[in-house]
Amino acid sequence: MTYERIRKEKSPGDTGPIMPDYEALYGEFQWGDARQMLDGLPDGGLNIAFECVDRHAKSGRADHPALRWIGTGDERREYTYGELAELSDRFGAALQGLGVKKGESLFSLCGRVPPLYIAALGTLKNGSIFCPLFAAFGPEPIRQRLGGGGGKVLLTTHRIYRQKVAGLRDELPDLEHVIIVDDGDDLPEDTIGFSGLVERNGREFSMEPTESEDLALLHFTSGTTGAPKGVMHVHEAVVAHHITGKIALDFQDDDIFWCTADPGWVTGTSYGIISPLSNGLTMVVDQAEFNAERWYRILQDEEVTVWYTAPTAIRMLMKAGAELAGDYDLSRLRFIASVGEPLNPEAVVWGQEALGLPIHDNWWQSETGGIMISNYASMDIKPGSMGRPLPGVQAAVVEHTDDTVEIIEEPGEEGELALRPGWPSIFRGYLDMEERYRRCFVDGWYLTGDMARVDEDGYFFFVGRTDDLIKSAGHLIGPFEVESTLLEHEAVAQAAVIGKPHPTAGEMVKAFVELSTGFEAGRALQRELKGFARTRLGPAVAPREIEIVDEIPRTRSGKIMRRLLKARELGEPEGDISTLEGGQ
Amino acid sequence: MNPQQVRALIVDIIADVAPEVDLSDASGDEHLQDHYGLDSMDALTILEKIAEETDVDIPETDYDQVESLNGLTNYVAQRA
Repeated sequence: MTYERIRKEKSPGDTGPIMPDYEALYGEFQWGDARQMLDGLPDGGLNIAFECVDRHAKSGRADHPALRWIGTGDERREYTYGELAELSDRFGAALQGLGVKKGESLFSLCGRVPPLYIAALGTLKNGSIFCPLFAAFGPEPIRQRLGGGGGKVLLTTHRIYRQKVAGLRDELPDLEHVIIVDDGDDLPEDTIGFSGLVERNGREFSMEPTESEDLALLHFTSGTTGAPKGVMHVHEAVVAHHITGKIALDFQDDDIFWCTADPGWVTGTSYGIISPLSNGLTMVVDQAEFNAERWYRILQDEEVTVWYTAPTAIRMLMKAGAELAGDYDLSRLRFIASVGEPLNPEAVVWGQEALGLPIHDNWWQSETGGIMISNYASMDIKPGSMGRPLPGVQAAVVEHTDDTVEIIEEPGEEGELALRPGWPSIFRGYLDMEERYRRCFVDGWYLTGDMARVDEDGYFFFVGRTDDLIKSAGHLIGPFEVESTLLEHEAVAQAAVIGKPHPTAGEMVKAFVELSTGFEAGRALQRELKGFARTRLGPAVAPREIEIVDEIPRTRSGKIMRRLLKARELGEPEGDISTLEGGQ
Repeated sequence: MNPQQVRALIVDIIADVAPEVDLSDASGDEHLQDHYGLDSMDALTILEKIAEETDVDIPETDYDQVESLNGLTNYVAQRA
């Protein structure tokens, strides 16, 4: 089925999008001009948190609401820019009091509660590195990331600490301080309460001077093989976070913005903390998980004007039906965007029918730090396309060898999506994986690992991954991590993990296991393995389906042929199986 | 189906989706997602399986009635 192009026409009296003409801006854009939109530190240098809160607090926007928080029980709290600036100062002072220095890292592992946002900003003001983790991770992903990243401070909740971290502390020698956000009278041993830390303690805070190239953020992303990669970002990234909010999300001065992503994933930090704050908006944060009625109610009651969400959520709203949307007044909503995985064309069109607005898909990844390819308020949408490169970003579909890159000029031809380095939020390395980092760059291009095609009008379309990474509900999951955990179970001799297409989540994690001798296939064992994996990995990463098979296909060199398992799962042709062990 | 049968079916479905969840000591009023750490995909899968087995489709607007095992059991038992 083909979908009609969605035309953008300016309605009379409309102030219009912040970028009225994509091609004009693409032609004249300079990153240096984007840097000029920010203040910089008074004595020189650049700091993300200063741009997010202090400069607004100092410039007459101190009383403007910055963070509007809604708790799971519908309790609400609002923080102005002035309050956030002060609270993050106090948290920064507390870190200094604990002896946490510039370049050392604070990891967060908690739900979307105000202390998370205060701590993120305070950490950056202290010149320390903020590394958000997803609260639903099980102990194994936590140990790998927190241990591998050498986290010195952990911000978490009472329950998560007790269930997932306390037992790991011996394995985390770098972890010196654990701060509990929901502290009461009964703090676990060897932890510190958040509220006591940020109470007025008389300690003067002087911000640690930071330069553009100082490390600021660490985001872990799954790899196909081996441990997750720690993607490193510097303070200069805020230049991209700021301007891409304006260009790709159409941020305007009095917007009320809701990014539904959790800060445990890169979207929830770049666009769930930094970009809306650096732009001086009011951002809505909901602590609760997805619920269609709740979400519509938030859009209505909070008068959200710009909404950034994910395909899985949109597909769940579609399931709930367009009539439900009709029960709410969504007239304040002006712009909707989506990221995480390709948005199917039906969903783009559904937005227009059910919400009165098309949904603007965009594309980026942890390594790019900010939106790179996008649909814009002023540009026609071709449903199913991720849009066109941001002004300041050069993108192409390429073919490459180990040291040469050739751009594919023919429209519609598939190749790897590549970007010309040079934008401020490009990652500066993978933590302790220098070689892996260097391999991402060939012949002056950054290779994204995604396959794409570009049409005759310059619109990009996602085709798939070049590797075996799984994209489930917007999260990138490395099969190796899941396989390694399954292999820890005595019944499992071999394990292979693939992404199986799923109508709501895009893909879901499916595992194939080969049993050790002496174990009997059956429902009880299937359940045991699933429970084993979920307890260690958490529900977002663990397999949703486990199939016990006689033999997992491998190459003669012993490499799991995930591609073949996937083809079999989908009933597709098996392709080249010449390297299959025992194959013809 | 009587409520006991419905409850047994739901417990069995939860054991398929999230086998690590221990319902043996449960009062049944615990919030399934918050208390047992199920995510929204788990919740969706459980409701889909219930619909397959019982023909009871639970619309989004009724989700607040099915947040616990007891709530879910009552809801399905009244309709199955």
